[in-house]
Amino acid sequence: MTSVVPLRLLRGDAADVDSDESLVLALRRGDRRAELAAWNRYARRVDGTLRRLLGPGEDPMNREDLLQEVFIRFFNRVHTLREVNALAGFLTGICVNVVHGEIARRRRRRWLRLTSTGLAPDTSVHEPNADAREALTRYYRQLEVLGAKDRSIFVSRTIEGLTLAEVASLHGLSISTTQRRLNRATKKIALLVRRDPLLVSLAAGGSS
Amino acid sequence: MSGPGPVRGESGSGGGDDEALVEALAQEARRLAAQDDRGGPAPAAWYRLARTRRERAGQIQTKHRRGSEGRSEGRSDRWTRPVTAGALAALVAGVGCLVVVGIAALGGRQASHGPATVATGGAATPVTTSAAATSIEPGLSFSVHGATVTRGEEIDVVGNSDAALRFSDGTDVGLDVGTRLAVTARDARGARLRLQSGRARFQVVHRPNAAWKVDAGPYLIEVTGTVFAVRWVEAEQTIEVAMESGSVRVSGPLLSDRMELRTGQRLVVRPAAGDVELDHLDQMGQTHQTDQNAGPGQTRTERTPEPSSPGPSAPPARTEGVRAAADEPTHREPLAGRGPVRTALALASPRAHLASPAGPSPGPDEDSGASTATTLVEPPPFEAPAPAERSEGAALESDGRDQGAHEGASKRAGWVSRRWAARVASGESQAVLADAEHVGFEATLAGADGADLTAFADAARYSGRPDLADRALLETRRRFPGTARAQAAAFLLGRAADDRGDAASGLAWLRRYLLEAPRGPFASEALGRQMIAVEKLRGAPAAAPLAAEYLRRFPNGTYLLRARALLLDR
Repeated sequence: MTSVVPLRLLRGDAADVDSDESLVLALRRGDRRAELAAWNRYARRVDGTLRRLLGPGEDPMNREDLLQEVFIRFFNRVHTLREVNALAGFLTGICVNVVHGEIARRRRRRWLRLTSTGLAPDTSVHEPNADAREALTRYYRQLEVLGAKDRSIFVSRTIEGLTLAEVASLHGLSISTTQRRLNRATKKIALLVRRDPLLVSLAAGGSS
Repeated sequence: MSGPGPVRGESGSGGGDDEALVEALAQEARRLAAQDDRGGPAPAAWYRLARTRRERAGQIQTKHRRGSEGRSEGRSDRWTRPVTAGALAALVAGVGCLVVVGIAALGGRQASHGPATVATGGAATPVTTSAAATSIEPGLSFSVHGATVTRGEEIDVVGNSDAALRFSDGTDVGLDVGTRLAVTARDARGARLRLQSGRARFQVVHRPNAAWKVDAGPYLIEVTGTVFAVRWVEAEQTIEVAMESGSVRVSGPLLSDRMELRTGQRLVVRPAAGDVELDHLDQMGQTHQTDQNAGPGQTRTERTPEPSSPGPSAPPARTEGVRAAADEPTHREPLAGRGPVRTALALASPRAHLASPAGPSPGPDEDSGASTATTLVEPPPFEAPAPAERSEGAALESDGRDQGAHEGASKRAGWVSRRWAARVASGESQAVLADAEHVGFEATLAGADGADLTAFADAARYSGRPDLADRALLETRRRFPGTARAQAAAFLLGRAADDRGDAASGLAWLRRYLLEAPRGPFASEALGRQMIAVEKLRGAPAAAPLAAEYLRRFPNGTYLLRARALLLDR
């Protein structure tokens, strides 16, 4: 069974840019059409990154808020990008920082999973993966035992797949410190995971 | 940008089993995120982004204008900084909230001192000016009595009196002092509430298609129509559910699936300690009588009935054995106003196997007088194990049941659970070894229940006693055959042998593990190590089929590069 995935490109008057370099240069010139081009090119990717960083239990509206925040920061800071060809990594870094800030904010409020809209996450449309979704929602909840920074380090390394050097740089830490915190977080999370049969089962089934 | 990568740190680290487990879940998370991707954000998101930017630009311009009018140039620049402005806004908002909370708390105290307006369920709502009914069509509406609505639909009971939440369908939620609850979703069928901390008693009106859910920490309670109470202690990560009537289904850590609770049952789960208790109020008197008759130090053997199973979605609870009250941690005031814990029923949970640092080379076992070489038992030929066809889930299921029987036998043999697993998890491996030495290593190996024996093996590994660790793992396999513990022991034996350079023995154990648990949590590492061991013993061509299998099963595994290299060399 295949489903057609719509490509949600906005035609509008997006700038015609064929490379990241020309896109960055256009953005730096203040070309508003380049912003739409950047959205068309990267919104889906950024959205995917946010999905992975936040987990399946996240309210879609919250995620969209964070998506907006990522692009607002990106447009404001694009002039600080040194390597114009490193646009994707630059956006990922903003994503990690935005999510880190959001998690820290929630922890400060000690209200980790409350949706800002008061609405439950929309999970009904994804029923075919209900079990895996529930298990992964639990997994992301377990990550809350980590501090905001450790969670960010852990998720950006294990789920987002950034290199250790990238993770260290994003969090302003040395590689050795990052590795140490990552190891500690991994041990703590693995311990919790093994106490949850559903997660153990998912890990066993998911690895084959 | 989003390319998944191996979990293992570039600088190398121990804890390969932890990393493999985490990586397996990370793969699932990436897979699910990819499936959820419906082509990216909706087009409207772009327009909302544009609107947000306009609004922010307008705010900054306004502040800038105010700053330039009333202040010097330097100061106005500072005021235009969004961060500073945001901090100021947060400060103002914080002061405002403190004032509001203070007024509310003062009001609460006044109310509690006055005539029983709150206790009567209060037509009057003197405590909270925010007790007004909230309504968003077409969902249920609710009103709050005696509590403070701090933000949106978050409710704090900050006064000295209990509070109540009343929904328009007649459902009533009683809140103890100090409770924090949020209404996170509502519709015509019910609502979803999150118990952040404290105790809440739910009287859910039974209606066709009613759907109520309560989140408490990592637990989810699904309700149709019933009366029950929930307590969640955030600091201790403990949930307690007491049923007065009807039924609910509870899911979360340590519970194998949605566990159904019926009238009169009480469930307490402490995931951090690995404890699950299930009391049955119907048997309270009988059990209590037994308690009184039990002599000091006696271990009771009565079992409470397992929760009824509604079908495949709610498998029955698995008994691990009954724990003597003396072994139970101090219990708090029970939800249903009953006496202390009487009978506990623990559900099996897989033991955590922590990361193993590379231990020193094995030496003679000074305590037992046996050397590692003589202690190790080679596994039989590869075709031997009967349970090879079972899935890991089945193995865990079996583990739960078999383990219960084995550990019941341990209790009958006089072994009292020492909860070593929690101590090992806290880094007290040396203390656990000392405790075991006090008991006697041989007595420990012969009598410890499954959890303690596994923890003992872990403690030995972490303390640089591979000889003891191997003996404990072998005992685990001998005494608990066919369980997940035994499967994990095979893997750990194989990894230990592999690490000390005994590739042949390691290979045999790893193969045994893969035969017994082909989809087990260590399958990725076991297959990767098997591949390398075969390469070492028989050369790259012999390892190539394993490399191909590894790439097929674990395309993002930690042995990815080696597997690719083996195939390229062929």
